[in-house]
Amino acid sequence: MKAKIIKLLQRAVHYYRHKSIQFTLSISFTLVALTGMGFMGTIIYSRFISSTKEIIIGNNKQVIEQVNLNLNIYLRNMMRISNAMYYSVIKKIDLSNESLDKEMNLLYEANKDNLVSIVCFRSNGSLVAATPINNLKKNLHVTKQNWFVKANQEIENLHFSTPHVQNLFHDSSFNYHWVISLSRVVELTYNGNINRGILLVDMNYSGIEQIFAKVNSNNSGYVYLIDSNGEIIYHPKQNLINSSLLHENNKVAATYKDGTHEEDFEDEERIVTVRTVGYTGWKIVNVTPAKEFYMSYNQMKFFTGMIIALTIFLITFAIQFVSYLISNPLKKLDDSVKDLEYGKLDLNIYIGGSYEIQHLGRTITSVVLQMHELMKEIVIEQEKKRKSEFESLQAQINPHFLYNTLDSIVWMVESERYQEAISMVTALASLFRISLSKGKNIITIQEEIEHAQNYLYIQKIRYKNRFQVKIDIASEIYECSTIKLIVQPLLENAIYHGVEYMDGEGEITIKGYLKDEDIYIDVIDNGLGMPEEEINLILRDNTRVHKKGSGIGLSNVHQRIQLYFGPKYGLLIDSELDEGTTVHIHLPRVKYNGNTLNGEEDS
Amino acid sequence: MIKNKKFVMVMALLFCLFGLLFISTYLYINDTNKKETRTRISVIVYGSNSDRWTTLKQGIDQATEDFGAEVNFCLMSSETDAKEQTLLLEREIENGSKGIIIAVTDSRNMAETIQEASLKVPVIMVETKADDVDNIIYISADNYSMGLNIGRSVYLNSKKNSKVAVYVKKMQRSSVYERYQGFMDSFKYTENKITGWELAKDDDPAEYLKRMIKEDPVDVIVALDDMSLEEVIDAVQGTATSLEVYGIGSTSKIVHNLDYGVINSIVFQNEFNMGYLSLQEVLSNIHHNGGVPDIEVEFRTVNRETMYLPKNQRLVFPIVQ
Repeated sequence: MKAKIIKLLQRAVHYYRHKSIQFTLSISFTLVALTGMGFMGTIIYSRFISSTKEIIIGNNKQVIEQVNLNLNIYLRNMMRISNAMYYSVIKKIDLSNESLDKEMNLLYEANKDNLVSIVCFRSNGSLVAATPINNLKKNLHVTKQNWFVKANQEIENLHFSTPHVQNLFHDSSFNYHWVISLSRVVELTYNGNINRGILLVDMNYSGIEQIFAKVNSNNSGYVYLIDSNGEIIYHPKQNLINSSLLHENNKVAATYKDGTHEEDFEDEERIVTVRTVGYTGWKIVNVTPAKEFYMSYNQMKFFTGMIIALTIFLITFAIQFVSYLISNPLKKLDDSVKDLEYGKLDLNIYIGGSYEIQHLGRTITSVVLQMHELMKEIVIEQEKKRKSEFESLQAQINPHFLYNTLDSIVWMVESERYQEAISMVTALASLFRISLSKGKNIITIQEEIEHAQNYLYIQKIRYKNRFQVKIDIASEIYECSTIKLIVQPLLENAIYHGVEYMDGEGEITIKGYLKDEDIYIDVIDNGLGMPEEEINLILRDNTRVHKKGSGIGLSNVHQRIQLYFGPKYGLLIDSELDEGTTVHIHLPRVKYNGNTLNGEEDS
Repeated sequence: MIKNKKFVMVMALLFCLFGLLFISTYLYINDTNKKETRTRISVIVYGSNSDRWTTLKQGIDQATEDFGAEVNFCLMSSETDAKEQTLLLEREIENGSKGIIIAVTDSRNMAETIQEASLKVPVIMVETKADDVDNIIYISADNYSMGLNIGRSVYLNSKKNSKVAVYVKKMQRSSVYERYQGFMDSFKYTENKITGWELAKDDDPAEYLKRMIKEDPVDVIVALDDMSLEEVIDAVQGTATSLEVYGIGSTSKIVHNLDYGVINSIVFQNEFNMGYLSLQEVLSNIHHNGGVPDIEVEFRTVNRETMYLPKNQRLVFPIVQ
């Protein structure tokens, strides 16, 4: 596994190294930006989640406080009515000669918005007074009703009932009121005697509904009300709960202390805030399903995602642009330098971009210029060197040859063959004249052939006419240019290797002709010939110079021709053992024009 | 330079695409948050008395609030005209109703119409069903058991071997017919004498009942649906007889008369549930057509004493929210 990862990393690094600078820059920056944005997004998102939760819990508390306030007003109103009825009316009246009706009616009229009825019973369930209607139903067992029982059980307290349908009075319309009852034990005075009675204040249940409907109209969660036993007093979906179509966690909620709780009810996570209502022990319960958070989480997720994506997009764009700005001058510089690799010296090096790249461009330009100069100098020096070498080669007239010739002349003079000696000296003089040629390298073919004839003349005398010479030069090539001293070395070779040992039967032919617009000068002998290895060696080996000859080898001739005229030209040797050798000199056809070749000044 | 231009163009294009994506997703999210699907649903009930359907309507209203729909509640001008209900049904579908909740007025004669309608839009039958229809959900209490229970109630509360009259009307409704079956079966092994008071088509119910009370004295009168029970109440009130009345139904008039002792005992079904579930089912059937089995709602038997018990009073006197 580890090896695999390392291999993968290596491959990535390898891949990375072979990419352009722009690619590398943009990928690196983008990765850094992505990581940064991802990190930032996560922080923003998690911060948002915790703050949203805090805000929702805060809102829930606010809502509950508001409901509590309104509910308190409602309940206090009930208590106020009950207290007013008891302390200001019942306690002050002797029922044996007075009635409660007037005060009761006044109190009812003053509070009839939420009030259904005010009733006072004796402890046996008979009616003392009631408003607004007072005809009790027949066969009514008031003493068995819950509010009556509870008031009698704890006589010192006020008792708030859960909502119920009022079952007291006869009403010919089919109206039934859902009410909350506040019941308490009161002292009724009859002829100065105190009897127990029950005072009942029935408040309209719709008053509670209104308080809750207001806060339940917005969509985030809901608020319901339970009594201390967990019985539901109000729920926005009370009918559904009554019909068992919906369930509520009310029994558990009754056990919660005031504050915020998290619960899991019917596979739903919810946040529950509880507040106990003073005096009654009722509890206001605010329920916010967790999915309400998630919905806002999703929205936040979307916005965070979008903002991150947008930022990444902009950053990528900027990175692309910046990396383009950085890498483009480098690329241009690279492109302009590339030609240098192909040997192009006449370059226009790009200078642009940032200061560093401009500096680089200038430096490369100056380097190229210096290189250019150096190369020129090298070429000139090489040329000079070549020329001096060439000239020294040409100057190599073997002392042996001179000694032998001069010896022949001495011998001629001694034997009084003056005429021959004169001719010999003249030929030698002519040989040297052409050899020197006033320092020129390029001469006409005619001059070259003349030089060859002088040489052959001397050699024929020395070898006592042991060979015949035939010269056949096409007249149209006479005036063409050649480099000097190229035929004479071939003749020397022909004599020493070919005909020296042939007694009077040797024959050397010099043929000059045009073929395919090129000049060919063939030196043909009928000597011993050479094996193939010898032929291959002779053109390459500079050291193979005949001791007694002019000192200029065939390879020297070949090199010189190629140096001057190019690799296409030079010597070509055909030889067969015992048949003879033909050496072809291949030259371009160039008209002689003073001492210049191709119009190039020969220095 | 050309490469550069291309690059800028590609980036600009991407930017535009990104912008479009952003805007469309934003609009989509806002749209799904705000937009509520207001599907048009028609509720067609039998009879012309809207009080009869108050509780059912409350259930439907609650479901409308919870699930979001546009509900058109249709009453008939007559009590039992199958033709009128057929026309009403066809008109509602033509007017673009996406689902039908129907209390069938005539189980046999409406069958074909209901079956045809169910091919066009989801149909849910409540309270009374059409005979022999396939793949149509029926939401009701167990009518046979309701009949059985009212019979038991009569047997337990009236004097021994009392003479019992069953006021029979609208037997073309499956609900009434099944209740009748249940009621009759409850007296199978008793000594009670059961007589059927069957209203002729042209008879006036009040006149008929008054006449029958006089001509065929009985101890107990039983009515098997809301309207019949109200007619019995009207006929019995003011007469000086000691007639006991039992019945199935829970209109405010019935409840009031139960409270005042005119009626001895009633059996009533949870019509709030019936209404709520019918709308829930019709909406879910619009989205996924599936063969859901029939749904049974609960029924209760209450008398004057038990009607005020906390568990019963919530159903007998639904809180109007």
